[in-house]
Amino acid sequence: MRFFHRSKRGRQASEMERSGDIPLNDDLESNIKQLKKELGYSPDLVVRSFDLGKNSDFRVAVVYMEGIVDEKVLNQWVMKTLMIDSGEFDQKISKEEALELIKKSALSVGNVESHRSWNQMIDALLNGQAIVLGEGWSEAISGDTTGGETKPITEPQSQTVVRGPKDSFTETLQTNLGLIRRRLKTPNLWVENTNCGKISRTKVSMVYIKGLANEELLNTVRKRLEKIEIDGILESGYIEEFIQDKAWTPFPTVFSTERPDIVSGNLLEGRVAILVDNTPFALVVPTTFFQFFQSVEDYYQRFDIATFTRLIRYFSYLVSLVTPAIYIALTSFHPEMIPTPLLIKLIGQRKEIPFPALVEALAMEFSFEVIREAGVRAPRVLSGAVTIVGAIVLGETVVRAGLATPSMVIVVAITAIASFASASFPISISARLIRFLLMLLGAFFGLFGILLAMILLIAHMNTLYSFGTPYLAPFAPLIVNDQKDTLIRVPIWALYRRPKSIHPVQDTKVPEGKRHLTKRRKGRRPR
Amino acid sequence: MESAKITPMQWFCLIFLFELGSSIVVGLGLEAKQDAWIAILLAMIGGLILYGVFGSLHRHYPDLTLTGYIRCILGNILGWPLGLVYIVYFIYIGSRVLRDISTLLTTAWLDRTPLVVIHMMLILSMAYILYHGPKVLAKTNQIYFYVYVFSLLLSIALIVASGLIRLDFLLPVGEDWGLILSTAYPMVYTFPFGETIVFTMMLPYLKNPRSGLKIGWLAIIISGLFISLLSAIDISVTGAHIASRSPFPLMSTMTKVNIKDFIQRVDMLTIMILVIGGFFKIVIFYFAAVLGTADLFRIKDRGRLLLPIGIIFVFLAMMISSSLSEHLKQGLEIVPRYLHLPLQTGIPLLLLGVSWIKRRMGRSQHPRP
Repeated sequence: MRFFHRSKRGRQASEMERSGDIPLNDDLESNIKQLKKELGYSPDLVVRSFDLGKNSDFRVAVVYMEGIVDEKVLNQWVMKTLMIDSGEFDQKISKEEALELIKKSALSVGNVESHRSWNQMIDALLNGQAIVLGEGWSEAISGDTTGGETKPITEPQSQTVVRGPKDSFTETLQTNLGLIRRRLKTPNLWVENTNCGKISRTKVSMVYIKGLANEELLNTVRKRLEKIEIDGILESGYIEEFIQDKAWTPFPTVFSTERPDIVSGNLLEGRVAILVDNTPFALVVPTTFFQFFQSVEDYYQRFDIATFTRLIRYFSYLVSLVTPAIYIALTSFHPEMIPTPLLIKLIGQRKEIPFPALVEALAMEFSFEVIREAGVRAPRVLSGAVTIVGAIVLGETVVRAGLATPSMVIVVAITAIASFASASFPISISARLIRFLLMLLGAFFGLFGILLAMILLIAHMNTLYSFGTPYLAPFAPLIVNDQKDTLIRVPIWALYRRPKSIHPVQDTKVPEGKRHLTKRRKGRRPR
Repeated sequence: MESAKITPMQWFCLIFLFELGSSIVVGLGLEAKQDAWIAILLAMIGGLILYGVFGSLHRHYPDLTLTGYIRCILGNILGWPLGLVYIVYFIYIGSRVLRDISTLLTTAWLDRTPLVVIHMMLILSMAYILYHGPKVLAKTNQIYFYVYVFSLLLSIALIVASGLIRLDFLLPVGEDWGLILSTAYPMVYTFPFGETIVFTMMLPYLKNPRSGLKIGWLAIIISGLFISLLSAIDISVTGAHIASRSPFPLMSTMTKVNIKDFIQRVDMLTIMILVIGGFFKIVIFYFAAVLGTADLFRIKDRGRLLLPIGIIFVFLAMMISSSLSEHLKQGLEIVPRYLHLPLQTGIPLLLLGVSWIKRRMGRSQHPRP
């Protein structure tokens, strides 16, 4: 594309050319022309040429992309300083001196860099920086004016709490990093940036606490991020599918969250977070199955309450998984297991229904899935209609028409409510898929089929790893220390060790000698 | 050997589930009537000694499985066919347990499902686990260890809570010591305690062999106590006569559970106990057979052996006997005497003796097969 530049620079540029890059021209006019051409004469490319200082010796041009720069900063600190405020330019100075001057003092924005190659300059331009080009310079100066309209920090949508901070990640990477940094004011909070996606050039940040996160883990994450080959990354889900250990599983092996406090807590445990630009969801690795059931509020509420609610969540996951299957198995294979009065009721209901239990259950579960999907996808205005149709038509009329038993409707409702009670959305989706499989097995082999499926399910989960951590970690293999914060949660002062399953560098949160200070002594009351 | 290793805790769970596996459901040592629990405890002592024999054999050949060191000790000509005999033996015992499970399932739950379908489902699930290697097997076993112990304790609690236990059924204690001894040896001693010979195939996978071997003793003791306790409970609920005549004594005990007419029909728990226990017992026999075959025929890729051997399991379990009574008679009278005793006790003792003599004569250079 840029072959016509080759003649001027000759051999000096050979190294750049090898990587498909060429050096800048020292002619301002041709630089600007070339830039416009490369960007396809795009109307959002703004070029403002003017003479520097009173002695209109040489022309400079400020180039930026409209919409991704902070106009206020640009006008105040780039344009104004260059055009009006800079008295130094009144004296007669050479081109080189002017270049140095601009680099050193004239551009009064935070981050100033100079670029000698086209690709670097265009990267900077597309990242929202303002570029200053000058007549006779073979380099470009970029000033950080990144900005533009972004969404303000809002309340989290998918992981809500009653007690706890109410901020969530936004679509801007810088803001998200700031939210984490505000919580962890340590120089050891390290951020490594890479660009992923050949066309989209999306910024991906790997965040960890130096001295806590395991080096081996960091290397694995780095290596997997480097390996990503794709044209564009639009959401962290893209990254997740690239870096996860195993694709063929309904279970998520990468934790995702939109809450900065969850990310900070995980960093403190020695995990690594991956933030992706334009995504309000951060990824956290390694994870275990049980992490998906731990709401962040478990740590903000009293420990006994937290343990109770956590157990409720595990239980409701199990309920959402097996209830319809067990209902089918019991009614079609093992009626003798149902207490007689209940059985009589059930048979009385079932007598009217023209379908076998499996068909009835599948139809009801399927229509519920449709309603749920419609509820998510339908435009906000229509959601009322979805609810009415779902609740009244399916819930009420189907029973009155004798197409489904009221008990089946109850089963579907219990399943649905239970699946909403999980702390993390990805894990409740996994239950939706497995539920159908269990229903089929329950219909063909009764409780034996369900039991066998559960053994297989556990076996499958045991084949999963998340960045070297076994998926069912504190239970298989058994890690006694981590039991303090898995099914139950002990008081915070008793959680003085980091989870061993992720092999943090430093095991204890509190220095050995001071541990006794964290425990509350019996019988001591403030006076 | 692969890097896949089994932790001592997982080793404990493997042995525990294996020992309890099918034995607590079919009822053990009921020939000794109300003293069955004593017979079990006596047999456990023999089981511990036998485990010591396996342990010392392993200490001499830490990298080899049973089929491997047989050839080292007895030479290839004698050792290879003997290894084959062991593989067939493991498959046979595994199929017997498979038949136990499927029989109970068809009598209790799935009365119209053909045996072969149940066998196939079980074997396919096991093949999935074994395909992923010993680590997944050990971890899955560990998770179900918790479930198993929980349901066992729950069952005991339910039986006690329904006030079914009549301790006078256990009297007189030690009525006929001759009968107790003859029940313990060879019957209870060979099944389930002698069956630990199958673990000689997995010992090289142990992560920490010293503590691992030690924890095995503990596993045998605790599982022996559990079996003894459950057998005593069976007898004290139904009485020795009914218990000894019922094919599945734990089942007949559990059907009696009834708390205030509200908690009843808890035989679901029994079947869970049997299916989980049996599953992890068969899967170990299956794994041992696969490991042995891969060793004897020098097959690198174990995955290719899973289905062929699995098919043998499925059909052997079908053809092993024509009826339940034939199956039980074989299992309780013929197999222990003519199959278990020589293969579980005779040959390992012989191996230990020969390797001891060999070492004494200074020729023990551990020649590789």
